[in-house]
Amino acid sequence: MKKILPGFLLICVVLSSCTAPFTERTLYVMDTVATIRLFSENEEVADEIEKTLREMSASLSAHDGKLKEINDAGQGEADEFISELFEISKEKSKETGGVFSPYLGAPIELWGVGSKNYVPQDDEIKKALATTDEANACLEKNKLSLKNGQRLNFGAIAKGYATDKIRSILAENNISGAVISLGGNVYVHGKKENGKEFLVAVRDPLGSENEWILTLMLSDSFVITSGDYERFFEKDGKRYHHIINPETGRPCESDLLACCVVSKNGAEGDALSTALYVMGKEKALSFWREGDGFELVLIGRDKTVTVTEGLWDKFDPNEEKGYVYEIAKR
Amino acid sequence: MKLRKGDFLAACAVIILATALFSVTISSSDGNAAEVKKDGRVEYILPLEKDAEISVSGCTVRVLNGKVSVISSTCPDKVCEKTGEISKSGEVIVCVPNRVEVSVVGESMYDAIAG
Repeated sequence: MKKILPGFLLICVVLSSCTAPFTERTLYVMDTVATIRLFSENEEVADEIEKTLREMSASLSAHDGKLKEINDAGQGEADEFISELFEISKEKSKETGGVFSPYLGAPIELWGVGSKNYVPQDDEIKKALATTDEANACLEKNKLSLKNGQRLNFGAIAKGYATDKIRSILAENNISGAVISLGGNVYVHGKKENGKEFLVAVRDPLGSENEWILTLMLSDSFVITSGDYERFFEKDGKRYHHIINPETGRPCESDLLACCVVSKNGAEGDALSTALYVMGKEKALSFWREGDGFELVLIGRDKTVTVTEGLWDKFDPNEEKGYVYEIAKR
Repeated sequence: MKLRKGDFLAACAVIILATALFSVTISSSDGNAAEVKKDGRVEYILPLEKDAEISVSGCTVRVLNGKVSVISSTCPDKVCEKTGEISKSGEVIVCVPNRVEVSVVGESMYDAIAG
């Protein structure tokens, strides 16, 4: 028995701390916090993801990246990230009838929501809006030129795009399960170590950072949300948020508190979450009915949560929150 | 070698204890400690049953009555302060400008929060 007991003890200790090895990392990149959790021990893959994120951050940031240099100079050599994202953005802008726009750098910087927090005059907004025509930007080979004071801003798509790049790294390295969050833009890859899908909570736009209104059971999906609660400032009792309407040059007035897109492509999910938030509930649902490859959770100001039918069997509401849930059919 | 009653009982006790420990670790929702990370590295582990106050990279982190919060910060947006008190496993407070993250350790009921 003396020989058996230590063996027993060992087994018990192993059992009591029985979680599969995994790799976790927290990084401050792309003006936000990124968390990377791989359900296998693989520091090399985490290193590769970290390197790629840092490169993208140095390239795509409109306030201290390569993109800022090009915006300031009105021209410059685009690296692979800027070139690729410019083309994707152009396509997404067309698909959404210009509601998603990468050309809004001037009005976004004018307001400076989250930095200088400035409420501009009408003539300043008009001047900034005059720069946002698609025809002002041109990419030939790797040379990007911006006319008439146009400034590019990829803030409404870059994080989703970055998550696509991470997905490729995970797939190339045969990682069986991972959870990535890039400032609340979530991607769940494969399955958990127990073979189950992931449970992704969707934040309550009226609550604090850790409050949520529903969970979704998903794998290999991007969950990306836009809403006026993410970044805003208040002046003279009025709230100004960071999502600029490309038609007015002002923070948009939506009947939604938040628009959450579940998709198989990060850049698409990110661009659509912004565009459909700006469009509002009815137009967003029409857009969903005409499209495919993505599903929606629309959180209305009237506290109605509209879940599109593809998510109906994947979601579980948080009953404590006082929202009313409805299904949208095709 | 003979298996005596005492040995058998001892082995049983160890198994029961380990099983109990195992189930507590995986099923608890109220966490028992907060991890404070600076730039992604763990700097402090604060037991939630003991009131404490520490300063890390511009943020003042306080444990009071079993809950942890960032009570002041040098950052401009104050998202960390506005997050309020947390005490459940998986809940997080982040101060992006100061690169500080406070999280309650343990198994969370969800794998990620989107928003």
